Amino acid sequence: NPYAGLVSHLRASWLSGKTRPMEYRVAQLEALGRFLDEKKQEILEATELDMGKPSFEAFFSEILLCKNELNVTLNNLCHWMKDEHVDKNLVMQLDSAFIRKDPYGVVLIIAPWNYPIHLFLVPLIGAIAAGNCAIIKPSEISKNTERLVAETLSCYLDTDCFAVVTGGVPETTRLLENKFDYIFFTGSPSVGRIVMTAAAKHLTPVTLELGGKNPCYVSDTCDVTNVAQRVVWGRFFNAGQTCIAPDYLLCTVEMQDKLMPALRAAITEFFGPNPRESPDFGRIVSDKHFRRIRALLGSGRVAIGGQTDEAERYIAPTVLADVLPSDPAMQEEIFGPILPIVVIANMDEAIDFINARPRPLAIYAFSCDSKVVNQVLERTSSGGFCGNDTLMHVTLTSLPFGGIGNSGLGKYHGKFTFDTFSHHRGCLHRNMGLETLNAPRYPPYTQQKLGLLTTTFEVKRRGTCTLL
Amino acid sequence: MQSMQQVVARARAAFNSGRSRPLEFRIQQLKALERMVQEKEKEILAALKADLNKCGHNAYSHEILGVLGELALTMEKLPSWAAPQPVKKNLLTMRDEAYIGYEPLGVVLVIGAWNYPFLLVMEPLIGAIVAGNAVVVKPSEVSENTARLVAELLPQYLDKDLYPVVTGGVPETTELLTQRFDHILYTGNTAVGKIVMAAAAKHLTPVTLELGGKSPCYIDKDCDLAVACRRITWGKYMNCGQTCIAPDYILCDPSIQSKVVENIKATLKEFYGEDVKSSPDYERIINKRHFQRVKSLLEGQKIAHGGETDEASCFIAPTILTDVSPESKVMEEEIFGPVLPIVTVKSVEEAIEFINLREKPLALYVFSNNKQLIKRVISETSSGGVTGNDVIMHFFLSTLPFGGVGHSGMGAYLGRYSFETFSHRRACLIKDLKMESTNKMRYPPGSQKKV
Repeated sequence: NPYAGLVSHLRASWLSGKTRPMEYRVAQLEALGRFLDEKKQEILEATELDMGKPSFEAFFSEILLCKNELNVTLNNLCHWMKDEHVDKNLVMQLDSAFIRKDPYGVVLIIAPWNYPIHLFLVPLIGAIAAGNCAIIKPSEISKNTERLVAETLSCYLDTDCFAVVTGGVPETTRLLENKFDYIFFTGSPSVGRIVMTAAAKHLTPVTLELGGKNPCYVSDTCDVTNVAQRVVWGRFFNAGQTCIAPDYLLCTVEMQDKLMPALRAAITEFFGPNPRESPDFGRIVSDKHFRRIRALLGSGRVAIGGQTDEAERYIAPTVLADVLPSDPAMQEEIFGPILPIVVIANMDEAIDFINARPRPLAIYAFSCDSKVVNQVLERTSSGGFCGNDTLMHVTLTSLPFGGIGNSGLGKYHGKFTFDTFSHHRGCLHRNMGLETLNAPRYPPYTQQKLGLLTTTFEVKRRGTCTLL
Repeated sequence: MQSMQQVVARARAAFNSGRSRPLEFRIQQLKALERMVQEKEKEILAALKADLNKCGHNAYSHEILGVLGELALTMEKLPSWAAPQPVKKNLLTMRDEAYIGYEPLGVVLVIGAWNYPFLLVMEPLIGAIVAGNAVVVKPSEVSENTARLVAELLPQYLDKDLYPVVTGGVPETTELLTQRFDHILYTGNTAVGKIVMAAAAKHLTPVTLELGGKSPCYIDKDCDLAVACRRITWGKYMNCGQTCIAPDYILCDPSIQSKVVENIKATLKEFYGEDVKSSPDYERIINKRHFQRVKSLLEGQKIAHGGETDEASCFIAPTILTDVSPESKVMEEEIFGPVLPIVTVKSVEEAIEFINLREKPLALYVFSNNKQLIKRVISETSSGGVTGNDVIMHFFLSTLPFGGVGHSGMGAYLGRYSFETFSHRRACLIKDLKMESTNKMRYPPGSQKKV
């Protein structure tokens, strides 16, 4: 077991209690802040080399959003760490009842390649804030960022408690043989299953941030220009390599006709007449993914874009019209700059279409009629939902971010990350005196004792529920 | 005889019909459960007596009272729990609606245990219903009378398609676990917990595992030994020791060991009389297999009190073992029986180290007059839950989450925690289609100014 030594070293640090004082956690978190500040240029360069990530995007997702999470955490850590006192029942009025936030111990964070800093750093913030030690396993596919993290993170964080492990599938498989106290995984559903199966051997709790096909319903009553801009932004950000990107559009044939020029206009406004020359449009991360996505272009008909360049791993911002549910583009999460439009007759058909498929990470619905937006929300199920925009719900740290069913289990961001990495331990600290009050619970049992117990323990309905 | 696939498919179709979602429907089903418990009290008590020789008092106070309380609480709180929870917005979302919506997960599987066979099926069922799910209930086949009763009663009171009961043993449960569920709550042992989680992994199904372990009980020299031992005796020997949060073993200084034994002995006499076997208030071991298992733990041990057994009636007397070696068999596995080993430690540091060398337990108990010492033991160890200066009681406060950590389990339930466990918290952001100008700064082409 090649990682046994590392894991036991971290476990020994954990048992020493080093990571528990608030001052320690704050110091490590502040060091992460310095990492983001001092290595900003390196991060922008590495992500550009890895997937042509435009520096504007890299700054937004890898630096700005991470710093927000850091600041929310630093601002609230003291409050989050406190014992949470709870309401007591009659019998426990003189006792102390509270929930402690205990760290789990040594946690494992496995990050993907598409937002390679953000998707290890934001979970790590919560792991540190909650008092754990952590092993970080960045993705080998974004190899420049992997190297940067492996080489520089140790200059900022306490190496007794935080380590970076690099490698591919064989290394990750060996790493997963070890016992961790929590595993946080972001990636595909198929690997999610493998991670959870490995975790089951040690009864390790997990958070799995997975993916799926995020539907985007556009109703007939909407501001076409604004819809087009918001959808284009969300779809082509990071060249479509975003777990919460709108994966496909559902609308009527009339709306498809209306949207097409608006989508074209938005793409041109954002990326110019030749997006290949735009510094604001990314590239596909690997040859394998490039070929995978290119094969999806045979779905429906190419209405906008469709150009590719293998040497650059460039795929133009593309819109496919009249895509059929049986087409290749509708069989897998696209994770690329292609937006298929599937024509439906009406909102009900759109909802049925969505519900016939695995529950996605996000659902989007656009309409000027708020009733329509609410109908889609209420009649479907997804990790999260955004009405009249794309992606934005995950930038609000007070909202939980996570999937359901195939798109994942667990949630994080803001306080939810801290809670994810803490064990909420119910504690009751009783009075040693007043032993007579306990008498009804002891044998020998009598009818009288039972009556007393019933009276003191019973929760009585306070009145009829107003619904009935 | 229907296959598991058919039962689960019917439950899923029933859930997809949407009828389990309206709050009125959920309350109606909970009210029906309440009627069931009240009308069938005699039958429930009789089943518990047949399975565990549980006397009426214990059966009522441990299993029925708790269920009635949970029903009352959930019916009362449902409207407030289910209401969308608005969240703090930032500058960009000031004009938007941002909230967390609580939604049912779908079809939940509840696998019960045999030691509190009614309670441990009903509590999760109540939680799953109140969150709007369909629920497949699988009571433990080991407590066969209660299993049979639950299978008979639930269809008489609840919607048959939404809340089917499935009976059977290992083969049936294994088949059931191949089906896809949207959450599985399993109460039982660590070994099977791993099997359940591995099966759940195939469908990426979230799980709540209420497992067990050896819950340590540290008695400080500075404490009212009479009171402490009284409380410990109650918690240890109730249900003949077959309680997941029973104090499994005692840690104390050698100088107080014999006093501890004396106090427990005196309390036992007070509770069960001179002849424990004839006390109507003392239960039996669930079956011969567990009887043999617990009996074998006594081999080679110093029995300070008790030790009598009678296989025919699965009777094991309340037993205390002294000067127990940490390496002995009785200290390896969760005892789940009326055998209380005492392991001596010379200091609280040694006790903490002892506890931390072992798997994280479901409960941890510490008795002391010294508040700081109690705080220290709690903060330097980890466990599902804690009661200081008593045992078991943290389970009875529904505002505290009940669950394990590490090998003692994952997730928590009871009260509001059940509602949250069995719900999906969906992040919702509803924006305006107007006000596009505020979005301009995020769109390409990028510029320093926009940044």
